[in-house]
Amino acid sequence: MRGALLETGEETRRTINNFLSRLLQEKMVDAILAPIETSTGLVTPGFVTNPEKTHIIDVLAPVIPGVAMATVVSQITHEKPVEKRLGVILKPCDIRALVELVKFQQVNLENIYLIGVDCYGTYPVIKYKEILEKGNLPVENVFEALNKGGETEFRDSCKVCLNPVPIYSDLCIGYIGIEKGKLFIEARTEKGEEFLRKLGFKLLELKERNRAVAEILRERETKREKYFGEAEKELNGMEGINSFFEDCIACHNCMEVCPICFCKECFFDSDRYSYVNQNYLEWNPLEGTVPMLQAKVQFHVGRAVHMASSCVHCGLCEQACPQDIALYKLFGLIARNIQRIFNYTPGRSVEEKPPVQEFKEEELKEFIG
Amino acid sequence: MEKDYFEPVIVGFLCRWCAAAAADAAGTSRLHYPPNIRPVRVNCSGFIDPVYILRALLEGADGVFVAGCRPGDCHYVDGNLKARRRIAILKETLKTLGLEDQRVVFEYISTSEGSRYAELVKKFTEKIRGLGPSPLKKKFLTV
Repeated sequence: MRGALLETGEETRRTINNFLSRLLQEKMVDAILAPIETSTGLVTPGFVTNPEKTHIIDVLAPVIPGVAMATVVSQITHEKPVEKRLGVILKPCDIRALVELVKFQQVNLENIYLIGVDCYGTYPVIKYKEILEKGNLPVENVFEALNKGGETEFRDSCKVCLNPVPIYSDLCIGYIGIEKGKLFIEARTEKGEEFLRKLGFKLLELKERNRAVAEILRERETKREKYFGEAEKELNGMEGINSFFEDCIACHNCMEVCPICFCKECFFDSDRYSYVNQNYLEWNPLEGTVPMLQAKVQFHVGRAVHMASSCVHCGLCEQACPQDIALYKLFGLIARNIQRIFNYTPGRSVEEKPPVQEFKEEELKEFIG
Repeated sequence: MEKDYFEPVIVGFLCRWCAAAAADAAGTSRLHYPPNIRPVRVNCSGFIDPVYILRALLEGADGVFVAGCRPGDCHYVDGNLKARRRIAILKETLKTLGLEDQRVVFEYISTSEGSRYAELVKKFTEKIRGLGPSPLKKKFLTV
């Protein structure tokens, strides 16, 4: 699709914010939901309605603020559509989660314009703060990594992410495959093109961008295979799983932050899930030891069975874990294998139904009998 | 009890419109099949959340036998086809984690197939006997 090339120079963030200000000024949107900077330098989702206050928006911040933007959109639209026109800024994984939530009737996209942002990778929160403390700008590190090909300090799920560019959005703010000091705002839908035309941009097409993205994907495919190959070895059999979850404190944080885990009342919070307390002492008498919090394996594997067919590989589960368990290894691996059987990519399009919502008359013969 | 003695524990989730009726038919026609299966009658195979199967395995079952109607025969139009997808997801998850997915089976059994029910249960019990105790029972980390 076509788009507009913006000269940014060194002022990448200000250029984007000016663009967002103009969207507000020209009354194309009434509010923008975007990652806004907090006093500690991190970002958190927030609304901006005043075109003069867009300077707190940090669109390119290479960090995922605690909760996924898709979850925020779901919170404000799951009961009824928003009345005002809302521009939402999302990372590629956020958009895929949002599309999945639309399919599960948790998000209503009426009056919502999606503005996607390229994402070459994000840092763990601690690493992000470290970079800030050193006085560097994390986003500059990302640009540097993009140019040199190094990306060693990203989160694991980002290192093996196959979607650095948003799949589904009205507008897309792109920097991958664009020369330094420039940004490409791509119109993906007619609405997006209308926005850009109204703002008076000259629209053009950029072919080399696709080539750059394909290059990144090729590199990451191999990394991904290697990563999941190792995960498969580690998570083999009950012993592997038990020691993987040895430190789990069953706080259910991974479930809380997961954008796909949308149920208001979780099966794993219900009485049906809890064990009777006295059982603990009766179990496992031969081994002589009974570590507590036994329902961990059931919780994690059960949760994987529930959500893995729509897992968008955002890795938020891993980021939210207070015990630093590399949860993406488990959920990512299971999700990849399940999505492979159904040949399903979550977030590819709103029309496509998720595996748990449809079936074919003749299929899955190898799983019968 | 001898130490090596292993009698498999099998949990059966049977659809009340077909497999449970087939189990009844097997009983009334005095067919012999292993008593290892503990049948649980459910309203439809599509009702079974894979987590129940997982829980059965973690709580000591060596195998789980799920039976639903033949495709097209579901009393609730398509519950068995939805169940098929869920079982596939569960089995793939177990396989990914190296947890012997063959301990879960999904079979189509229609109301009149009492003898087939007996045969399938026998076959499954023998298979589980051959596999030995389920590794999922070891839900404890041995410290």
